[in-house]
Amino acid sequence: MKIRLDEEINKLKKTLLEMGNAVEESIGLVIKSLKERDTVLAKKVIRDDSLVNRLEVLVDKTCLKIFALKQPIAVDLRFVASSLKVNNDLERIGDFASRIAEEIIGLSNETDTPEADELYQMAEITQEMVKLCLEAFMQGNVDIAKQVIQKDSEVDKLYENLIKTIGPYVHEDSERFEIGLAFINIGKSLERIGDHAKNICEDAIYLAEGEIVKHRKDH
Amino acid sequence: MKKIDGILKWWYPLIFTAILVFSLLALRYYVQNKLLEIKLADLSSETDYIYRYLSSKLADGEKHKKIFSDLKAELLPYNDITVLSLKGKIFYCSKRQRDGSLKDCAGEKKGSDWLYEEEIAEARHSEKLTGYSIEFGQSVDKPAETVRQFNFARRYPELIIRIAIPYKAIPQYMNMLDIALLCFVLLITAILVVSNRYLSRAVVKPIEKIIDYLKNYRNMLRQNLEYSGIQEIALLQKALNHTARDVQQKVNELSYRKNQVEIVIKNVSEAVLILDKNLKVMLYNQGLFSLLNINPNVYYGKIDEKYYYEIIRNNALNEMIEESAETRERFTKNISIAGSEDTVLEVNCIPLPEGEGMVLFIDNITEQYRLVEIKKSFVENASHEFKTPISIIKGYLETLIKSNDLSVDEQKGYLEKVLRNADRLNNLIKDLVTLNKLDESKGYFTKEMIDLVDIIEGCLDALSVKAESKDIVLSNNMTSDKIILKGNPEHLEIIFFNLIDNAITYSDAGGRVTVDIEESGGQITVLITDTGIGIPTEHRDRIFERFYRVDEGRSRKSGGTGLGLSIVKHAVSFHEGKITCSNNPNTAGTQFKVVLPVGQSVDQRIAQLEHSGE
Repeated sequence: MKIRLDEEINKLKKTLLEMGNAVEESIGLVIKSLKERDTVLAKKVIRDDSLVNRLEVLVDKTCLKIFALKQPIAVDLRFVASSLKVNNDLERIGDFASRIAEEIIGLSNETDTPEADELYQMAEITQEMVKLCLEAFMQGNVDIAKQVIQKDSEVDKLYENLIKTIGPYVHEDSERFEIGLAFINIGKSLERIGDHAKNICEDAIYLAEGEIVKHRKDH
Repeated sequence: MKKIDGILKWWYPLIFTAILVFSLLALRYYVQNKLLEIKLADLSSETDYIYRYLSSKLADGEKHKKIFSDLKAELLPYNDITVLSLKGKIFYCSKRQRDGSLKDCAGEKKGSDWLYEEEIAEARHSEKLTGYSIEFGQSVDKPAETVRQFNFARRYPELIIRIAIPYKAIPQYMNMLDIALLCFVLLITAILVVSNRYLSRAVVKPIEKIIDYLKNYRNMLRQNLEYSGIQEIALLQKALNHTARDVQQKVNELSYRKNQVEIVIKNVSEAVLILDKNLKVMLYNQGLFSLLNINPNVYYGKIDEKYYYEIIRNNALNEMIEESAETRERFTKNISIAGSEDTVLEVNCIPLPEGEGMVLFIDNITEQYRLVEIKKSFVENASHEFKTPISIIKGYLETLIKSNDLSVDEQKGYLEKVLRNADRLNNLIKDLVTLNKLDESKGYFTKEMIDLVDIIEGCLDALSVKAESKDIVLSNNMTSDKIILKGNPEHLEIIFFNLIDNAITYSDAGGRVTVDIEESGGQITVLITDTGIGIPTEHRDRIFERFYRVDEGRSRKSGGTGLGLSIVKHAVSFHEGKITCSNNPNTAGTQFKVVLPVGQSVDQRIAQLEHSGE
């Protein structure tokens, strides 16, 4: 079987972006379903996760095929190797989105919920992060990647605030324990989504500059 | 690849000189042979002379000695002369001495030895009867000097005559020839080198100029080439200038057209994206960025030459583009983008013929989409609202017709219910008509200067009976007794009647409905506060929608049509005012706040008040 390297890499890019679009849309739907308590949307998010899973397998196969048949070098090698990691991150993001959707379905009958604006803010920031991190990766845009990495600390701060809000809310009435826990779980999932987006950005910087910025404290 | 410069300057003179040298060498060889032949013929005639002399002398029977001494005078130019018989007997042999005298040397060498001399052997056996050899040897007297001599022998019927002369006698012509030829070759080569240098400059320079000119095409479009003195090159330059002008024209035309197209695309209200045959971005307008939420910074501001899937981050839209590219069919689809705020895009996908690319028109139709949805739900709601009273009326009437054993009281009760539902239908129709009027004919109602306090007091009066029956206190907190504004009395009455009526309806016995009015800075604020059940926060945005009900059962029971607040909202906006709803700041309940503009300047109003006060 004869394949052309650039064609295969374009295909890889396209599939990764499709995955990214799907998880980004899932996060959008999750925010909406959280705001409107719309379990139909939440169920759609859980269903859509299977698309992301299928795409993950496709990306894995494509990467291995390129490795086996084309022995890419230099930037191509970095791209294909990074794609494997980005693929994994995206799949995890998809999983977290469907986990949030499950929590929302669990919350659908509860009326006594806390006002957690942090959650919506977190969701909006992470959605933006997921969108931008993949674009930074594809375009090799280091500036954008660094911006997204900075946004992750915002998400972390919002998560801390969320915990501070949920604490007193649960204290008032021990019946609220489960709802509070669900909200914290949603927050935690969003925070983890932010972390994965940050990982993708680190891969983007590695791809563009060949420099490993992981596990550094200066950003 | 060879350079014409190099060929002209080096290769051409080299090859030419080589050919010249070769042909001259051939010529020289020929001349040398010819000279030798001449020399040989010359020497033959000398020997012929000696032969004739000797044979005549010998025939005369003269003495050997005598012949020798006579020959001496005759043969001065020659070094050696030897005369032999065919068998090798020496008749005569002389050798020139250093002092120039000839010496008889017949005894020095045996006759048979002479026969082995090269020239004699050749003369003996050759059919040409002649032979020659060139002899190199050391001089006897001066060993350092090399002696070279040319030996010639000729055979006659009875004897052989050999003559030796110094060798230099022959090559001195050759040396002269050699020098002449060498000079000739050098001259020709020099001329060639110089002329080719000139030729090369004349041809190569303009060609180099043409190359430079072609390399920089912008230059090419700006200025003409100077013509060279060589005709062919000048023709080439002329043709190039002509082409450049043509290209310039075409470029101008194309850029003009491109500009036109870009202007059109930039000024189209929709977002436009044009993809080339590889589905890469070719042209677009700014609307695209906001509509598809593209962050231009990611692409360093330019999205040209990117694949569509790199910039469009929506799978539904990308699938549509792909499908359209494959099937080459036009598609129009509505694509909704979920997020904190939903957006609905109408996408027109037009593939260009021959797979030359694709044009996408994208429009934000969120607002239209919402309106269509509202209309749809309005029709659904309205028909539902109509159906309920009609089915109730139908049910009771059917019972009345079918059952014969109903008491008068029962019949009366049924008919009352029919009447109540008929009233409800009537109300519904009236409300719909009002709403429709408000909706469609904003200019239909006239505005006049009226007293708002008067209107509100009228509403309170009209509703006092209802309030009393529900044991609700209607309290009028209006401090001023006259506030004039420009408005339509009917509409203002609708607004406040509905609001106060609602307040009473949704308050329980023992409640209180308060009306406050305040005027400041050309605006009138009316507050209607109740102590009723209140409206939950999440419903507050939607209560002004048609047929929207917070609590379906309660609203129906109270005889509401679900259109009241919608009508109020329309009437308020007809007056260019605003209506908002919030919690009762003091206790449970709701507070509606209506803000209306006075509609005239304060001065005018004061003047009017003074006028009316008179």
